[in-house]
Amino acid sequence: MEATKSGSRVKLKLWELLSKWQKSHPESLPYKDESFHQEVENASYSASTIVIQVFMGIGAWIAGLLFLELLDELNILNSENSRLIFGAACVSFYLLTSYFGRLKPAFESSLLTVGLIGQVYLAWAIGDIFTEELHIYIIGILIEAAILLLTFSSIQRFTSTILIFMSFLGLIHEFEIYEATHVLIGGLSFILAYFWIKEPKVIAQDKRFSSFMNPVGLGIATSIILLLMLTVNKEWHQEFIEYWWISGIFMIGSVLYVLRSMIEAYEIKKYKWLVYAAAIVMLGPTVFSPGIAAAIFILLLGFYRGHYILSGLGTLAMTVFTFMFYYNLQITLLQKSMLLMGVGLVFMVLRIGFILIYKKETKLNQFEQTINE
Amino acid sequence: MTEKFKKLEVSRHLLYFLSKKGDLEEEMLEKAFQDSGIYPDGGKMASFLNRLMLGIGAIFLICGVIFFFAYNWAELHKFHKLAVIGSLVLISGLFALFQKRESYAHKISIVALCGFTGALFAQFGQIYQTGANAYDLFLGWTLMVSAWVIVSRFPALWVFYVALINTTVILYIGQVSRIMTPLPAFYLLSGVNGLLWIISEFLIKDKSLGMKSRILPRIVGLLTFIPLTLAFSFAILDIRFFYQATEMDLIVSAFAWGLAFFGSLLIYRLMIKDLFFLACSVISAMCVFCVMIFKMEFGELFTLAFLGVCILLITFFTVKFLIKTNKKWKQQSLAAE
Repeated sequence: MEATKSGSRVKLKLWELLSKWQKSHPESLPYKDESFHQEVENASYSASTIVIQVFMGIGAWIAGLLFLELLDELNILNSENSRLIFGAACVSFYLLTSYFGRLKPAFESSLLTVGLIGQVYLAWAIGDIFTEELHIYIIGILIEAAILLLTFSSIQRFTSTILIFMSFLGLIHEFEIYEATHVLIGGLSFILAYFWIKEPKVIAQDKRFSSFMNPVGLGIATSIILLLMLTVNKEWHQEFIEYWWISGIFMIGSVLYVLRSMIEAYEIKKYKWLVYAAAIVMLGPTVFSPGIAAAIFILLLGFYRGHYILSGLGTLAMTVFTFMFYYNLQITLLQKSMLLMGVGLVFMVLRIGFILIYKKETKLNQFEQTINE
Repeated sequence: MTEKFKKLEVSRHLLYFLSKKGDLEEEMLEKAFQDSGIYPDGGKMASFLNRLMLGIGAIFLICGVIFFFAYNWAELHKFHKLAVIGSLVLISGLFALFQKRESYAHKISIVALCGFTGALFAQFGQIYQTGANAYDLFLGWTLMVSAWVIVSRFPALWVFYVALINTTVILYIGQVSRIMTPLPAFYLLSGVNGLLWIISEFLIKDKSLGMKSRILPRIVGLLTFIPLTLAFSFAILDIRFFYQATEMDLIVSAFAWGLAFFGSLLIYRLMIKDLFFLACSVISAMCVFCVMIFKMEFGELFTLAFLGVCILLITFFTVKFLIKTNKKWKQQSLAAE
């Protein structure tokens, strides 16, 4: 384990990185091109913050809902076919404009509104035409997958990712193979872990993939949380989905997968098995409450990859799932308090063990600097 | 290569952009993510794990203790109960005293101290049936922990403190003042949070206090804007709801909302650079604007069409403004380096 005082670390400048790359891989980028420098500089300024994205989404939703209400009041789209044509026209216009137009970000909210109206009308028409819910979910998945691939909007990509996985849940429900929900959750958590742990590999694979990393990655994390929300209220799911411990095991497996990557990255060979054992001791009690394990998994993955939105999502999920777990627990307040204190003490003891090992492995002054940051 | 270009730091956004522009190999990107500090090094990761274990452990322990005393176990003598909780207050206080001031352990022990103090107050009230209601308990708790919150320099504890203050105010409205109309309640909530908003900005401005995170002003700012927006909207709608607003209500709520709206636009555009409040102000204005147009009763179809177009235009121009402002701030910060 290497301890460095991160605060004193000088941040890497872009020109330094480009100079290194130019020496080692002269053909990889147009290094000498002035217009390339200008493009990079512009890209650094145009990075849209989460505040702008959220604002854009809120504006588009409010406008979309107002126009949907207006269209409903006008009552001009009163047949299946008219709704289908209108919905398809709106979605096509939205996709064509975004795919070929490459409009400025300010137009994104207006286009999102058109896309939202189109998707609602398309879903409505499909619901009318196909009486079988199975078909609705399959068509829904196909449409959202097409939108996901063609749209330029991060907000739409994020929404489409969630809608696709929620439609998969609908399919599972339709086929009455309720336990497949655990496979879906397990699959998603594996994809999420792979996506971020192998981030450099994924974005090096294809030039287009980097545009999908954030919206799809965050969409998958949100989908996992939404699917596990089914565990929050027992009345919702107990009738259908059982054996939540399967999801719990998948989640603990995902945490171990992240830990494995961390052990390799930080070269913690000596204490490898101790780390796994400590993780299993800590996460073992959460096997019947996979939401808590999922929250820890997302939080850990987010910090490990330096992705603070992902970490924030994990923190939020942890607060909700922990609160709901104790709220739903069918034991007395005294037993709940004992359980809470017990888990708290386990964490404290593990922390002491962690500090002792860390102290042994690093110089004392480095330890003090690192641990107190 | 311009001077500004030379100052650019490697970020995830830029690495994604470069991967789109050229043929970058996995190893190049992996090394860039590590060297730039986007992926934390061993030290940072150890610090995170230490905080995670200490934070979760302490929170679970405090909640466990509070639940334990809430159960009011009859088999435990009242003096034993007071002794246990009193000892926990003492131990966490002493632990905080002997830890380095900037250490995470010091901050977490102050959190424990604040949590156990509330449990002690509740236990005392429960044993001696002091006649105090929930408002008295929370008021006492809030006042008692104030000094510790200030010395802690810990944003998470400030967030907890804000929750305590807001609970006290809500309980005051419900149990003591018996305010039956919504507007005064909204004014009181926004007034208290507005004051906290100003204090939090001063806390961040004074760098010696070590409060870097902007989470606190954002939370209290939001808690100021929400009741003010609701108050102004209620005053505009008046008889449509259960509350009949007077003209004075309309003037007062418009003034209070206008102060928050224009004040935050000016302050966060010119003095403190924070896009969050610019976006919040506009969202609040959009809500008030929608309520105004609905109140004017132009006819349902016209109102819906007009509002839809207006919201699209407002969003379009605001996004343009936010992007431009963000770009300008980034350029300014690069030039200032």
